[in-house]
Amino acid sequence: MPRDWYVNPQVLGEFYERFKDRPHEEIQRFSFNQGLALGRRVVRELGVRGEGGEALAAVLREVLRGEPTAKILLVERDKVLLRNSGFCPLMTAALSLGLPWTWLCKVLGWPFFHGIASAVNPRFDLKMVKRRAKGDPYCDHLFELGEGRLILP
Amino acid sequence: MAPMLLEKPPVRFPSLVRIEVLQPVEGASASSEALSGLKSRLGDTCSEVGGWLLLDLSSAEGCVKVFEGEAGCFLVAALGLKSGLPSLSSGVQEDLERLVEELRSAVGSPPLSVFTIRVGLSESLEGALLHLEEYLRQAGRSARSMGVVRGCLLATLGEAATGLSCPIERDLAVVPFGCSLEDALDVLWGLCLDVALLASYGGRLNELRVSREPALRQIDASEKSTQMRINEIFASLRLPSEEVEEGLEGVLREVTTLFSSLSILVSAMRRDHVRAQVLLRRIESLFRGWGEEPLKGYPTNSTLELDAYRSLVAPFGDFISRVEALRVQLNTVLDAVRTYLGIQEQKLSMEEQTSSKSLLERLVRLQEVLHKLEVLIVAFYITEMGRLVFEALAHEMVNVLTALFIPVALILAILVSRMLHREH
Repeated sequence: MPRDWYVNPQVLGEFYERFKDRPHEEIQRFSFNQGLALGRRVVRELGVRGEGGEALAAVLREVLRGEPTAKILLVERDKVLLRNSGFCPLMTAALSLGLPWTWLCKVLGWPFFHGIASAVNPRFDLKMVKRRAKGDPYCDHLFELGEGRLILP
Repeated sequence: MAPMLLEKPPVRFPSLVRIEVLQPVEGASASSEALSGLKSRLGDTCSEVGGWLLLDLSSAEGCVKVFEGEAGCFLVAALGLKSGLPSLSSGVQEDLERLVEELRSAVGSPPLSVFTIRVGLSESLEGALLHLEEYLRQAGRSARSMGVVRGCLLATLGEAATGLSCPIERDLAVVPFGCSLEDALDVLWGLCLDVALLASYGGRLNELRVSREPALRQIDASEKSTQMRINEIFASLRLPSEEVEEGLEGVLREVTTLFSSLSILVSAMRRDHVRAQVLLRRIESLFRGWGEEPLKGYPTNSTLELDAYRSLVAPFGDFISRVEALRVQLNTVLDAVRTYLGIQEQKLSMEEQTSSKSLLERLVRLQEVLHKLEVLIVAFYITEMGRLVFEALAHEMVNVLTALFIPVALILAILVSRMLHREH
């Protein structure tokens, strides 16, 4: 999956056509593995060391380079808070193709980011604290060392 | 009006008509198959007449059918009394309700809109009003709009729904007055066809709005955050030029990303706005055809309905205007970047010009030095030639004569140099 999948309508459209009738767990596993592969590649290319918050923040910064709506607000030893504000690029692409925005977030977006975090440390949980698709003003992704779970609202 | 026709239900005179517009769902079973399947499951309790499933309900008879056409997929159910005149108080029988639900689930499509029409009959408008008031009193309900449409008293019952929901639901009361039973049936069915179209347009419009609601709700927060980012970019362009140049590439990349994102957003929303406006225009045209007359100070049904549908469409336009305003600001950012780059280019060009001028001055000075050297060299050769002449003529005084000849040689050299340069 290309790195710019979240703003690439063609990728999103093909993804939807391929997976729309599959069980959620299966699609989430696929997305997680895609994120994991990208995360491992970035860790290797940047030579990121460590398994804590700093290392994850470095990987996220590289992955989200050039994405104006994403900002890392908090980096601690065992915690990273990533905030996406402004118009959601996934929403924009989904809207232009008539794809279900929340479906894409749930089965593609969040598992993908959880996969990236797992490349740094498989014990990272991803908790979606705020969601724009629900009407919140921004999306808050809280990565916290735990049991390696994706905690969806 | 679109060529959509629902057949009249096979009952004596419908007391109650339910029209549901079903959402087109990929893979949903065809209505005829669904109807046959349902009939074989229900067995002897119902019969089939002309594609309608008929249910005997002791004092009344109920029927259901699904119509598929270009205008949409309609589930129509009707309840007719076996004898006597229709009355607004004839409620939906539970058996018929169950049948409607089973047929809907057999077709496999969720409804976009559910319109229930309660039917009465009266000899005059006053009688129709009395009939309606009596029903409202008995049922403990209220009418929110009322009017006269094509010889029928038409009222919308209950309070308007607050907030968005799918499907849209309407409970209508229709009382044809001043005509025979046969004419009343024609008038009633004509109105039912219009209501079916309204249910289709309104349901599709509502569904479009409900599906875009999460995106529309984004505008406040996203506009604020994008605006803040634009302000930050403007501020960064006012920094000292060395700092600006460092971040200029990042700014341009960011602005380009934002710009393309907003452009996609605007075009997608504009497309939906056009779709919504098309549906709204059809609804407006339908209501114009009604020529509804107001009654007893109530707002007319068409006025109230139009207000509701317009309020569904308006947020699309508002969203587009607000995102367009952000796009204009981003254009201003790009203009500022262009102006900055233009100024930098001009500075560079001026520096280049200054540097060329000093180079030219140095060249001129060098040329002057060369000219002087040239004169000295020529004078030296003339002096040497003079020395050769003096050695031949006056050998003893050669040094004195040569020394005296040097100023003459210099003057001659200057003259020769001027002559040569004049030729050039």
